[in-house]
Amino acid sequence: MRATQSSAARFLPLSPQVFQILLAVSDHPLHGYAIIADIADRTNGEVKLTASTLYDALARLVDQELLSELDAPPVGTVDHDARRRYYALTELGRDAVKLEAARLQRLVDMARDKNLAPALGRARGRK
Amino acid sequence: MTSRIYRALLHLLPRDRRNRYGEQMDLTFRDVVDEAAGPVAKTAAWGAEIRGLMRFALREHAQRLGVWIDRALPWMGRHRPRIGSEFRWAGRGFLGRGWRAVMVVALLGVAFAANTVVFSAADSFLLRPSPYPHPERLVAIGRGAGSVWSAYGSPDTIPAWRSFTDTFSQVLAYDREYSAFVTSGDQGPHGVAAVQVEPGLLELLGARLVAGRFFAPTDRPMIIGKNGMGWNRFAPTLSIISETLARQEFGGASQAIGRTFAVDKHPTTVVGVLAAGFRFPTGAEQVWTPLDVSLINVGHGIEFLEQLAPGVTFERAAAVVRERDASVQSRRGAVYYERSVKEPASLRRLGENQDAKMQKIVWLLAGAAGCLLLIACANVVNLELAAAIPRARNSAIAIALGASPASLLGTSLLEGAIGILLSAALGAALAWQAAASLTALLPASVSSTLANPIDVDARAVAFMTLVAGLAWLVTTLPVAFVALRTDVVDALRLDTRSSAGSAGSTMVRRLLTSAEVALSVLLLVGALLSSRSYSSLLSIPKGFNVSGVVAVDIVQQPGASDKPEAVEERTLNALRTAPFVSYAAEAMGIPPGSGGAVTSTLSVNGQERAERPTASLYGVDPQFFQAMALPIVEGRSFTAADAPGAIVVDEGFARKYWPGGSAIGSVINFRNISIAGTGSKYTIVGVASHMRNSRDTPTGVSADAFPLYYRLSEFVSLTYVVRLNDEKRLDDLKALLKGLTPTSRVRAEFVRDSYAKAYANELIAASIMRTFGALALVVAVTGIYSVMAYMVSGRTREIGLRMALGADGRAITGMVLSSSLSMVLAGATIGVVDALIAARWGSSLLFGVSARDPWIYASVAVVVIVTAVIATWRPALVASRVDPSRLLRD
Repeated sequence: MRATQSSAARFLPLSPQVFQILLAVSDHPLHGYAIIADIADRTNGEVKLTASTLYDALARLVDQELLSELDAPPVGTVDHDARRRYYALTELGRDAVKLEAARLQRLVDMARDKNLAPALGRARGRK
Repeated sequence: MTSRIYRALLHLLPRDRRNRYGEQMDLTFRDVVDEAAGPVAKTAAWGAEIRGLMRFALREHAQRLGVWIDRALPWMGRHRPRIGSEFRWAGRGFLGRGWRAVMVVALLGVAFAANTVVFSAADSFLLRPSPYPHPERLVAIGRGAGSVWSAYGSPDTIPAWRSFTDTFSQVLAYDREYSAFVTSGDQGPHGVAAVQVEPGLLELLGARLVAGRFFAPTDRPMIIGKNGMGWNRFAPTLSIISETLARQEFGGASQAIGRTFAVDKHPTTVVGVLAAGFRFPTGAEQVWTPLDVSLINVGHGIEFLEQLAPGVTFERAAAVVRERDASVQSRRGAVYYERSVKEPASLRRLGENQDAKMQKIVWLLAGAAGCLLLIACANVVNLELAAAIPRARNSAIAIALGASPASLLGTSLLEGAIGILLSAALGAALAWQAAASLTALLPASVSSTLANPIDVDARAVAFMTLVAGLAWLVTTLPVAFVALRTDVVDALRLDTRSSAGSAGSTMVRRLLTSAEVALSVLLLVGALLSSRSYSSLLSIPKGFNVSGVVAVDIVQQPGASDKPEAVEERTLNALRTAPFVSYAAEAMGIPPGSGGAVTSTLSVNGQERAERPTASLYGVDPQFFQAMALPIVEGRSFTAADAPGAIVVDEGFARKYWPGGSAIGSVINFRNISIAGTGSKYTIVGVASHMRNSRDTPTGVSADAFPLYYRLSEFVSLTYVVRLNDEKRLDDLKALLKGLTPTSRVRAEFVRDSYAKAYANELIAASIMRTFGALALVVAVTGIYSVMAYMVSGRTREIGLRMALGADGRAITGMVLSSSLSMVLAGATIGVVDALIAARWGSSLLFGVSARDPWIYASVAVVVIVTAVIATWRPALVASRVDPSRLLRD
């Protein structure tokens, strides 16, 4: 685990788009359009990926082994279109997301120490 | 449509990425577009997608280029980081232009594609030599002029031509009137083109075997009976097939050897497989079977191919053919000698296209594609100039701070190069698709003369590279020059006075827009003239009522248990009792096909006459004239009681040989022809109105091929003409026929469409011209809009001042509109003058429309001016809403 974490560190920092893509498939594998829809949904439309920006990133993430392309749809998929491919987070990818989240957390903590970011409770409350 | 365009755009990506992710990207993008609500959101989705796609493509190609440089040019390794960063900056700079970058790539990509496809066509038709070994020694003897030249000759002349051994080292024959009928594979019964060739011909043309053998001199077809003209019918027992067919039907070349399939309904065994890429006579043939000229009847036209003896020039051989043709023909008889004297044989190089009209069409399209490229370049310069004004300021400041002009120029050129590379990738993808579509659209009459395929090959890529290089210089250098004004004071003053740039640059942009309008007018006039000409060709009267007339052709599966006679009887009964069929008749030779060519003698009341008329012979049953609604102008049509020796002649034939008198009752004696054992003498019982056929020209009727109709009696052709009482029932007709003979191949087509195919060249030219014209108009309008919008935004302060001094919104709108219209009118006037000059050159290509048709010129001018006004409307509206008080306060 430590070995994969140290190898995941070389991908940091992750771009916001890559971070969102990895987050999108962290629970279960998704196909291209489902990833776009999930990100748009979670970010209230702030991050909107196009098909080409998504696959530009997916191609690199698969090459870097942060994601893997599944040979078959996940069990329980209904209305499956055989042309769609599903992408799942690899162990390396999961470590990279964790490291990036921790890195962002440290940055936010620093800002909070200088009263430049809302305290944890207030941030939730305001939202 | 969305998917097709997107798939073409995916060709920007490297092949491996496209193969792996292309289909998924297409699906995902379709979902994104479907999700977008309304046309504005859909357009925005397209824009964002194209920008993302360009970024994706750039990154992938740059990465591959880096890998290639590392491997091929290791000494560049230490410069790579610098080169890489230069490219990255240039890429960011180019893509940072947003919609302007998309416009540049789209405009130039389409223009590159248009030029490349037209070049490929011109290259295939006119420029490239035939692809065979020693093409300079391969020639064909033929007769005729221009597009009606043909290499057909009679088999009995071959020995004579072969005897000229000092001129020809080989004389070999081939015959393309056969079709193979393949029944294996998943597609069910389907036909592929086949050709009979004499043993030795394929070797002469440099064909390469991948399996099996070539034909031996003893390989010959089997005679299986006579056709309607009394000529031998053959079954080829052996065949050589293409590698593609071997793979499709038998799983590979070596597996195909010894296997059996059918050619022209008879079983044949594969003895050889030719390497992929071999084309003869066109690219369509996939089956070659042996031909034996000694078995072919005199009068049956076959094509010859000659190889010049070593050291013999084309001119010397041409002179020999011209001089000796009469003596060769005289051995066949006086008629042929007379014809030879009237029209001596001539020689052509193999694959040489001397159809002047076709050449002119190709050059016309090349000119139109060139115009489109010029318009695209002018618009790109226009767009780039708009961006160059602020950049001039930045460059001037950078130079004042110590940057070298050379490095700024380098960055500018590199940015331009990135745009050009992306455009070229898009252009190649579009050209590749368009070339395939064009090949599919080409009629047999054109494709049969093509020794080379129309494709985006190395020559086309080299041409596009040259065009792209020129476009790069034309679009980048002037803009780089403007951006590199070194005088920092001038550049800063430019900013304070107006952001629309100096008077000089505004003038350049207006001139460029006028030029775009002029070229658009030229292309639109060309598009309308060619479209009108095509419509006129289609509306030439055919001599009968074409509406609802369908030509039906049934080809039985080889070895089918049904006898053709049984199929014929069943088909005719079913057709005549079908509720949607008015009339159905069996016919051998269906228009616009010209029937079988025959030469005859005439006798009137037993007295033979001197004339030797030639004609086109159609075998028909009594309902034919009703099914075609072809009027009988004298006498009568066939009746059931008619003896087989009755004949109906064309009114042109009757008028030519019986001027002022009646042809009824006279006798025609066909030489060499005995139809189904009824003898060769026919008595004229009726005269039919002229039925237009493929030997007629748009402007006249061929006097050598008037249709003659004899009564089909025993011969089974399985071809029919059917008159539907409702044109919408064609599918019902097809279903009925398919139900009657499920294992046969059935073709049913409106005769009107068959006639239209004769004008496929004109249709293609008109379609391409319309596409070019529409693209030109869109590009020019974009140019007008961008110039006017930019002018208004740059003169906001001036407009505010004018309004403060009393000018009202209407006056301001008028000012903007008149500024735009002066630019458009100047362009339109130049365009009309250009079009009048070009139309004089191209008038010979037109039919039924004058090259100076005032309505066409007026409608183009109106369309251009109206669209220009629409394009100017928004900038004018923006100008009229300027609030002077707010502007002066700011």
